[in-house]
Amino acid sequence: MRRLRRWVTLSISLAVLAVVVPDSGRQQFRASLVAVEGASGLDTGDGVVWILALGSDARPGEPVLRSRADAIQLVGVNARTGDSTVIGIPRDSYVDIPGHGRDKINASLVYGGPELAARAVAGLVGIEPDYVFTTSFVGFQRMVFVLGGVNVYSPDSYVEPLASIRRGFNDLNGVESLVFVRERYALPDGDFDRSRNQGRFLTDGLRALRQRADEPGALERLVYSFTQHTDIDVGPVELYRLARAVLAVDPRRTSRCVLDGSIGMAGSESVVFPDRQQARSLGRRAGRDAKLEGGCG
Amino acid sequence: MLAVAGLLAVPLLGGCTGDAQQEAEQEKERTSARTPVPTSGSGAPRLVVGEAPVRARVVRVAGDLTAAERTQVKDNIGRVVGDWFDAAYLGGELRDGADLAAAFEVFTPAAAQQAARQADVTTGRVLAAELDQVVPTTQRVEAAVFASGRGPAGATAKVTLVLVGARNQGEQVEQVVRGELFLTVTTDGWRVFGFDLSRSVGEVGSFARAEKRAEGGS
Repeated sequence: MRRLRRWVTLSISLAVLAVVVPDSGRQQFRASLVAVEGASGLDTGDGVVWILALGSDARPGEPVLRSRADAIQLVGVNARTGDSTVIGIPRDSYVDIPGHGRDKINASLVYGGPELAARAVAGLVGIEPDYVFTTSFVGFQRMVFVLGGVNVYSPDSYVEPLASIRRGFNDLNGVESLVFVRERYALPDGDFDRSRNQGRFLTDGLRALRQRADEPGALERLVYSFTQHTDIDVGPVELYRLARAVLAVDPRRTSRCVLDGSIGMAGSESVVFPDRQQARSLGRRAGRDAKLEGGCG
Repeated sequence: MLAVAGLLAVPLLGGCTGDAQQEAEQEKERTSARTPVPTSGSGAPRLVVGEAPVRARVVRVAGDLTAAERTQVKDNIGRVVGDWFDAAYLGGELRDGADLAAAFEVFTPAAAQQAARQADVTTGRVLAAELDQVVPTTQRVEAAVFASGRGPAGATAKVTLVLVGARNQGEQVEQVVRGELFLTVTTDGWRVFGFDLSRSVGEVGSFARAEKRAEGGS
């Protein structure tokens, strides 16, 4: 697999994560339409791309690339088959951070930016991301706006000052989407459920992206919007091709898992001790083709 | 040896730029091109049908392009798609079992491989062996372009190729290829890195009637 790591401070990588009849050649042409055949293909380099999507919790004035990561989602995209896998990593997962000992994985962004966060995730799951996208609160909301909102499924209902989420599908704007991907106190399984919701948002955001992309020029506008709202280290051609690859994913062929773990203490801090065996299993099974067979175990 | 009359000339004529005068000129070209003209095949029944040039337009630009850059993008994408139309459907080489690679020279290597595996759609080979003459009656390219501060980077080209073919018994068929090509700028210029296409075959005039119905319904 190509290991070309790039990082992007992206307003919403989350949103990007986004009749054949027999040979007609010898038929008599009496009908107005006697044959329709289809063909499709996409040059995606080595085929599978792994993207680490980070949601930075930088407050106004704080550096997005040097703040803690609220959302950590590792996304595999196989444009050739349409498969994708989303692996959510609880932000409090206590892991080895290269050069910094053991700490919560969300601190890796503070210590070394997207590159170190990618290395920390690679150490846990065994998949080295090709790209790292880091989103800020504001950028996230802007991109949801560009998408025209996202219809998201929530298994829970709760009311927050800026959003009322009901069980079932919700049409969310940018602010409401931010509430949805950040909320954990109202969820029965706290940080794990939040990570699950982030994964749902990625899938439903992709569905929204695919719907919008049917409009002429919609994908081009979205990619352009990315370049306007992001600090970007990926060339425009590469970004465009990556967007096409993401768009080739079939949301119905997406597997989502959140890494399990046990809650405990490390010093005075409450942390999650991640299930390392599960992490490696997920990485091993999905790494090559972004297809996760056998469930999340 | 079969003669392929319709391929005698497939002029590549830019397309619309939004400029009214150019639009008018192109409309004139279009009208002129559709004036029925006979095409000849060596000894085969003559196919009398107007031959349409490639008409390319840039319909959307996301980003900043100057008018000159926009025209250049339109011309270049039109030329690339026209080259594929010509090599894959109009050139006649496929009837002799020629190497499919020649049909996809404007594709990236990986996209060309994928296209070659689906050559019943991405080329005209299914009918090529049976047709004496082929004439394109519509060659349309409508591009939506993404441009960064460094210039154009990617585009989606909605393409339509309608061609009329004649068997040596005089029977005529219409072949329609429609869909999207995904292009990026490479060191060799614009290249196709992805495609989503359909090919249909029917009686002559099917496409025009379907378009008319669609326009009436919209």
